[in-house]
Amino acid sequence: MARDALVAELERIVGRENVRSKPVDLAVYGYDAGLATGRPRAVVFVQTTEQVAQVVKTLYKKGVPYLARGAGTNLSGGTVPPDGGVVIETARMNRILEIDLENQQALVEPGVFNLTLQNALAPHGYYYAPDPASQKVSTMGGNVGENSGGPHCLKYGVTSNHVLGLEVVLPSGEVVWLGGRAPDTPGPDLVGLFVGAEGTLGIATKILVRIMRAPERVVTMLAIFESLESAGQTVSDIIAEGIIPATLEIMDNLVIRAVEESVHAGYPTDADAVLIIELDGLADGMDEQADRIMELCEKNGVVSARKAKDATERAELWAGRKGAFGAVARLRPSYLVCDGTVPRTQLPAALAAVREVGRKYDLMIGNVFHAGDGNLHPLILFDARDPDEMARVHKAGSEILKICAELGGTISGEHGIGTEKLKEMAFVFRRADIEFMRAIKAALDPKNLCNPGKVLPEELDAALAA
Amino acid sequence: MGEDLRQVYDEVAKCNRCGFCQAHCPIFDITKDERNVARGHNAHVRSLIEGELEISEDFKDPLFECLLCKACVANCFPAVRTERNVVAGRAEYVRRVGQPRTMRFLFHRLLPDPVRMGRFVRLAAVGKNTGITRLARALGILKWFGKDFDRVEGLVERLPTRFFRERARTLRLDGGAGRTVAYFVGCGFNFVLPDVAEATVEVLVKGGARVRVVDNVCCGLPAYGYGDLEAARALARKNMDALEQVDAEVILTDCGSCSAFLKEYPELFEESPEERDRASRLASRVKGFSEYLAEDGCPSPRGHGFRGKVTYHDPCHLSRYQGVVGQPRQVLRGLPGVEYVEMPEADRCCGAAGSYNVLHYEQSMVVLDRKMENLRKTEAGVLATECPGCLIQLRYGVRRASLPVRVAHVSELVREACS
Ligand SMILES: Cc1cc2nc3c(=O)[nH]c(=O)nc-3n(C[C@H](O)[C@H](O)[C@H](O)COP(=O)(O)OP(=O)(O)OC[C@H]3O[C@@H](n4cnc5c(N)ncnc54)[C@H](O)[C@@H]3O)c2cc1C
Ligand code: SF4
Ligand code: SF4
Repeated sequence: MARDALVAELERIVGRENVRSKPVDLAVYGYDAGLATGRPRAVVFVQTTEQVAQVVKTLYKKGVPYLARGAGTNLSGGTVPPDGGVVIETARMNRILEIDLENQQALVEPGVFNLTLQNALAPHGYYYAPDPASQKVSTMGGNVGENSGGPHCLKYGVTSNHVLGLEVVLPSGEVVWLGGRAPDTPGPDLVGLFVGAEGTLGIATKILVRIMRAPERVVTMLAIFESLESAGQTVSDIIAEGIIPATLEIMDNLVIRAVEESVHAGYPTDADAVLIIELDGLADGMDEQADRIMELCEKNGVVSARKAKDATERAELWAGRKGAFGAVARLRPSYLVCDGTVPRTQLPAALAAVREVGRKYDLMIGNVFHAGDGNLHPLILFDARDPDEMARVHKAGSEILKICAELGGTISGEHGIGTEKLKEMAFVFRRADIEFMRAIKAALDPKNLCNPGKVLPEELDAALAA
Repeated sequence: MGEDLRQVYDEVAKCNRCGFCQAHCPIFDITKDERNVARGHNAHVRSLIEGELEISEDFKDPLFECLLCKACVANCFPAVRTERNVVAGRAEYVRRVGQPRTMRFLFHRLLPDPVRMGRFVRLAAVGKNTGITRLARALGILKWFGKDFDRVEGLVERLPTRFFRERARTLRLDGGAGRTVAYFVGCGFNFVLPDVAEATVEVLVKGGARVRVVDNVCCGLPAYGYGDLEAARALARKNMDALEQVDAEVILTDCGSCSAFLKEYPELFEESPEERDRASRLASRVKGFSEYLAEDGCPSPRGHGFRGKVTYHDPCHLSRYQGVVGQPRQVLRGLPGVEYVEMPEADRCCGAAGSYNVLHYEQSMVVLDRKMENLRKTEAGVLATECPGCLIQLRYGVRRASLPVRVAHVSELVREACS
């Protein structure tokens, strides 16, 4: 009956209607967009910092593990609860508290969708730079947790480059502010420590972000190539030229075909690669840059290239890319996104190796990636109901990350480690590195209750030996 | 759809849990509760199929708090048919947990018998017999009557004294040399809004059609949406018999829900090839009101009728179930003196959704308020649509929000323009 006592106590804090504990209600809080699943003991909908603090204090006292959840769209098991854990759902904590144009800052609660903030800023001529493809549903809290990136991060950086301050409920239940409004706060960069910690160091209850003036002009181009290599070479050439586009995105043939089938974006289905290039900034000199890019495309044997004439055409060029993940998902019921990153110059080698892995394990793998910063997203397609195929998927996923690590890259560009890439941590970190991270975690969360089992492998030796 | 939940296993397995449906579900938008979004619905049905959970009373809220509006489906990359999976879940619920006696009575006794249904409607409207008013309250679709039902009072402004079928006996039905059109009479227009049905018939006749009023019963959608597939099939069979009696090139209905469901009859009989073929033959001839006019041309307008800004609300059953989006707009634009303006989020569900607005009043009102806000932005004097459920809900919304807007069926506007 300890269970009922806990639920009753949670109900006292947030009200009966904000606590769920029936099996039927818990069944939908055991998954995220990744593959792993679990089963929580209760789900609590919170609406204020005080509620979060009280809930956390209660759980701390009782030694019950818990995690913060936004929209549950992370791809790595970050919000899969440990059995018997409590899910603290922030979706109803979704107010935009302040938009301060003069100081170029916005203060939001964690449950605000990234796109909701963008839509609130747009009429003022401002925007928030990180733009994950999941922006219409992913929350600002989740973006902070995963240090999310997006197509425009090549030029502007990821979430951590845009978070100025955080109100955080620590694992003890205490409420603190990290960073703040001043351009640089004294002491170490604690905001940096928290962003990307996947909710293992506490729960963000207010997020202060930098907002930027919308660019004076945007030019979007789409180029079609006969081979991935020539598309990749074009990317290298553009950057070697000293031009930093906001976006450089590539899709391979499998993705092109899938996109064409679902979005009808007008891509030729026999092309091997589609490259999307977007320039933004001051209008002055942009046409010259665009012309130069067109020349570089020509030099690399582009099949055809288009420049969007207006916002509608721009949206059309993007439609295919925005729909890419999902379109590929149509081919088979499940997919695994391997979010490895390699130095840009290693992209061709990495892509060739990925193709080899696909052949070896007899799996369909599509590629859609942020070419500018070497962030691959091989999508392995399968049916999760087939155990044999599942086993091959896991092996292939791990092998791809290993390849990335060996090419001098890393195992997560933006989707996090969660539970799904624990083993692979050893590909990029040494024992001492991981021990250091553990020490930080232990200092803040001595009872290991705050999203336990994520990011840091518990069985370090096994991971290192693998 | 058949009697075995496992039939939708492939369909629920297509959901890859991306969670993108959270941005489109009108119910999740209010509750932020994973139980209410397509991903949650699919997970629930899946857990029932895989035996992880047993169906029980606890499933009632999660399964029945869905508008079946298909906004999730329209925006889902693998296009998972969540609305179908939800109905399959409801069917399992009805089979294994049961359904209230009132619902059974409605689906199995009242809807198949228009005469009895009519009697019942009159009694419920008068509101004397408490047994029947209680029944009326339990029966979502009877929201139309409102009387004695405090919360939904106002959903019906004025109940007609004569149903459409009674009026039809004295109407002119033969327009001359045009096509023969079988007019399928929806319950909403027969019992509650007969003026609309009359307008439709008048427009058809003016356009030269020979109208045959079909001796149909309820299309079966309310039973289907509730998960009572057996009742839905029985109603569909009656209608197929009735429709086969009429020798007509076109089967027309001005009710967006009826046309959607008639076109889905083949799916209802998936398991019996012979009936499915029969259903397919009929389904291919079904047309909604604007769908028909857009193809066949409006009778020539005389320039009477409303002059000014008109906007349009897409019933879920026309837009997402049938892809009928351009036709009503085309018809409205063609009316003299009409300045057509597009409403923001025109295709967002108005919250009527069958019985939803009675069973889940508060949420339905939040959905409706957003619609009214969008309507206000258009500054239109007339809001047109093509479904009785939407008409009643939107009229209620306009009154609640004190907006100076008339809510009308497209056919009423066409009739006025042509008279
Ligand atoms: C189709 C698809 C496309 C995607 N595209 C991208 C992309 O382009 N770029 C990208 O970076 N990601 C992408 N993602 C991954 C995902 O959308 C991001 O990781 C996103 O930031 C998760 O947000 P969420 O609200 O769903 O968070 P959740 O999944 O709910 O949580 C994510 C993590 O953050 C933690 N967390 C949540 N709220 C808080 C809080 N208030 N305080 C502290 N920690 C918290 C959780 O504990 C968890 O560890 C994509 C996902 C999908 C399904
Ligand atoms: S229903 Fe569609 S949009 Fe929703 S989670 Fe499943 S696949 Fe994604
Ligand atoms: S059909 Fe409509 S109400 Fe039901 S889950 Fe889909 S979007 Fe939500």
